[in-house]
Amino acid sequence: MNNSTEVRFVDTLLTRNASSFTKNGLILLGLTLVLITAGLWAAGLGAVSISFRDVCYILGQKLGLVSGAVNDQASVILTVIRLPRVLMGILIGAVLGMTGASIQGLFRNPLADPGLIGISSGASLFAVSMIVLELHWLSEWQMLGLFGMSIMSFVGACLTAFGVYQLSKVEGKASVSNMLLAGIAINALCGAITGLLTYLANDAQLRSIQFWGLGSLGGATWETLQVGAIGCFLPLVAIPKLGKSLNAFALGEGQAQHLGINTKRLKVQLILLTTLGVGISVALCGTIGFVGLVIPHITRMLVGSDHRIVLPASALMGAILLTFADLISRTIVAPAELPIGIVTAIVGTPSFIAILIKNRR
Amino acid sequence: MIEVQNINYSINKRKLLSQVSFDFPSGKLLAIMGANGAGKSTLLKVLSKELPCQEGKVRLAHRNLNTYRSDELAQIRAVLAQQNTLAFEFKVDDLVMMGRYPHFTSRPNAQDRAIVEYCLNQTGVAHLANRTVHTLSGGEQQRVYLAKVMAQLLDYESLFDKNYRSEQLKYLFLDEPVTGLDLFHQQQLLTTVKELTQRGFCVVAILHDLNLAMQFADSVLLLKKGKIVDYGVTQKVLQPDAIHETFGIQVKLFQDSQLDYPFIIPFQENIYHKTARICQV
Repeated sequence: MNNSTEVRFVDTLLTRNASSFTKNGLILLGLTLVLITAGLWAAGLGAVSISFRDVCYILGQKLGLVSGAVNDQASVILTVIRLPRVLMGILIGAVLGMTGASIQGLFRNPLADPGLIGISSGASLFAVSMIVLELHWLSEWQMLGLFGMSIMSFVGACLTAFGVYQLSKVEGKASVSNMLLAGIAINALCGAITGLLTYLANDAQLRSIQFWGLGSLGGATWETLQVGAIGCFLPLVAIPKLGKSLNAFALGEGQAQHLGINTKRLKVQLILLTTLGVGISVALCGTIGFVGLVIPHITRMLVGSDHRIVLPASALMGAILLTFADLISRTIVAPAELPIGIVTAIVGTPSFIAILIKNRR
Repeated sequence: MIEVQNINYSINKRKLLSQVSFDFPSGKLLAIMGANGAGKSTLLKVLSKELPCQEGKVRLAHRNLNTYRSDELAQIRAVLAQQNTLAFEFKVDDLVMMGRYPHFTSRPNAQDRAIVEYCLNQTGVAHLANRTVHTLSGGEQQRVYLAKVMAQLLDYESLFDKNYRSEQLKYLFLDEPVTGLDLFHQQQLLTTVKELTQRGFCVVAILHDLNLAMQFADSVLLLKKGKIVDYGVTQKVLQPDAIHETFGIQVKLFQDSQLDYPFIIPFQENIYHKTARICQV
């Protein structure tokens, strides 16, 4: 190969890679714009409808960007009820989408889901125990305050994830295939105990168990949002930095090590961050299924498999999905509410199947 | 260079390697040969630090292997595995770029990209750069993975000068690199690997084909039950006695006037006698 052809291939490659970076940047920018628009639009819809223009106007005024008189009632509904809920949906959707992608990367399996390491079942078990055994005294502790139930389910999530991780260790190293088996075993155990508690529960308890199990953003206030934002900040910021390592991990653990990746540390980091993110989201909003499994799939179909783009894009896609799902959940049977887990599955599954069929051709 | 002193490796009291010692210089290709279960892969894994060195010493570039950090080692040592399973659908050029991962933190620079493109060309897969790895044939995939390990080791300067010697010694370990490849691609892959030795790379490959070893390897190490049967210059080691000792198979060597190396044909009267007897019954 002579020098001029070499210069030419370097040139073509530079433009090709540069365009792939800009393409990824554009996709992230596009998704962000869709998310902002969807969020503002969703904030306006509900029992009292507020136009998109008014939503922007009220927000602008609250932020001190514009001045003038606004409809007080609309302003209160928007800032006190709708906005924290929409923001909570965005936050939880982002965390579920991103942790889903990271767990699929860790298990090197597109069928994996954060639930696999026991987070959701542990949180459910503890929450259901609270409801059925009527451990109200826990909530009455000054320290726990309103968050008694959330704290208990978060503790449950951490305990089961820790248990699964400990069980998966072979000679001091966490084996991913053992983690899968341990996760299935712990999930089955938690499921059985939860089932037993459900069997013992009375009608009122059953109803709140069911509602909790299917998830809801209904409890969102500025306070819970604050807790969620603090807890989810670390996973949302730290997980995307592991994108390169996760790409190498896709080659297999041995080959990732050959590329200088500390796979032991990577596994611990991923488990900790995922447990933190999913644990907090389950604690605040119950178990919202489907997002963690399917959003990374759809994202990979859109942007390819490079985790450096898949992780942030999954977060944005998850946030968009949950914004729409929550909008449907609180408007379709208004003034009642449909649990959001039902909506994510009913809306998400057909679109997922449609994408699968289209990709098969 | 590689210096191996008295390494032993055992799992559950079963000795997989026993008292293995040899020195191997840079710029050469070493073929490790032996029957199935002789400890070839174990030896390669110990040399590449995939398995810990339980007893004895391994030194790369005059430095104990244990003292290398894994990210340090990744810059000078690459491994082409026997089996590659890719969990997600990566594009060919993205996969080869993974070979550059030890050399950049977040984004590849122009030199990394040039190295990747060069390796794609060298292994003859440049036309597949935009395909996903899953859609390629086995032989094509093997060449893509070779491009990845080359990309991990090559320096930018060496793209323009085939005689460029890197300041650091580079090590390439190949576990059965030509298994499953057709005749043409076997020759092509080993020729590419052989060229790397001219850049000063130290290449160690597990091979099964005696004739390929005869053609390409500078030295051969014969292993049997974890012990070295013979080690030395290829043509001296690959002789009927040592081969019989290692594989239990009789061979004859033939010399063609146009080749500067002999070729090896197995013959095993016993096997045919046995089969003939079985067939008559």
